[in-house]
Amino acid sequence: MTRSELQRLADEDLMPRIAGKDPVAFEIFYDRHAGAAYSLAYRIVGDRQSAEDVTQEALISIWRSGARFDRARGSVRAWTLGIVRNRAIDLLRRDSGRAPRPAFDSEELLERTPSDDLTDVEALRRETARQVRGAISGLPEEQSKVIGLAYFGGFTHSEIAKMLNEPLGTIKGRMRLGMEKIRASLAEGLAEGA
Amino acid sequence: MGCPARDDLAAYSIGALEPDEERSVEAHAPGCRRCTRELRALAPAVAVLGESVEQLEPPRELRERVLGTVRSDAERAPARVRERAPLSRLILRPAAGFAALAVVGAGVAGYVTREDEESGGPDEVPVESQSGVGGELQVSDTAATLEVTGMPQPAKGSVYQVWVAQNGTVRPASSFVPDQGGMATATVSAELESGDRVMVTQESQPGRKVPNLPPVLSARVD
Repeated sequence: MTRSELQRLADEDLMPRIAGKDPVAFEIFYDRHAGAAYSLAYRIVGDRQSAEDVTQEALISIWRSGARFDRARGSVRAWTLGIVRNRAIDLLRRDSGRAPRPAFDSEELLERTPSDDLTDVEALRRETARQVRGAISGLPEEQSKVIGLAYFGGFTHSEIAKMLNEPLGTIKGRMRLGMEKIRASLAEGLAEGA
Repeated sequence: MGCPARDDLAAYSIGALEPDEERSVEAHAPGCRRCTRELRALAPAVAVLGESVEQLEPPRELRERVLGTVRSDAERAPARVRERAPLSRLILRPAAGFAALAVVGAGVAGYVTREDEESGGPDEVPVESQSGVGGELQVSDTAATLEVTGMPQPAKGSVYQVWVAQNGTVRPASSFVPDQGGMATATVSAELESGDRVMVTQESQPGRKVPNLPPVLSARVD
């Protein structure tokens, strides 16, 4: 299969090619997902070098174990970001002195690309992220905080309860309410876009 | 066991449960229609959390490094459909009845598994034990990469530690915590030779100098 034919494949159809050790298929996968992977890694670990290390480890592990992607369990993007997130949290846990970065607020960007240089795909990726941030920023602060501490900081509910001096049930309840609101706002967005 | 509370399922979906609670959900949910439906409903919300961050441009050097590794791997093991060799053709050293770890060569240092004369020999053979824990060790001339599957989450605060037993000494190589699917990849910085052993133990903290035996996984290079 030629490069242009591979580029027309959906992510889910690229994965068997990657499992078969096709480096061109992986290159296409890289160009589709490395930006999101690096961005998430940076958001969690908070420095460029660690983010690069996490992204590199995660993507190479996917190359070496691509056969383990299960399309029944979600999209390639979600699967990839799950692997990146877990590796980044592992790094935080190994280096427990590091402060978590729990909030959803914006932060200084180190390597912004001028908008004139953005490809259509890249521009769409950033627009999607902007819309999602909008949905999340609509959450009450106490809900976004506990979700951020768990997802981006790697803290368990009991650690968060101690940190915030709140009952365990309150923390878990906030997590559920926040996740349900994100889910509902996604459903509304889909309905509006239909 | 009854269904976990919906609050617990939401906490599970963002990795916020304690390891023992997480294991309970994972033992229950796959066979429960209600919990499976609830987790599937939460999945899109979890997925967008990862997409919600400010989008950055990864450094060009990262692309070169990752794709350089990929091309190098591909040159050693050209693209093809991999044949899985029967377990009986491998030389395995199960560890304390927990699991078996297949040791495979990546070509540079030669195969460390017994060659299958009829098919040309395995070069990568995932192996699973009865407990579902398994792994592969890909050996090159200067290092090795360990990939494990089906590993349970270690106890809170604990990690899995990789050890290399070589020339009469045992030294730590790297540590890891598997993802929620039980998968992990660890680099083993060692020039492995015949007779060397690679082990994985669960340790209460990273950085220990002496392994907490028995190992969860173990393999001897033949």
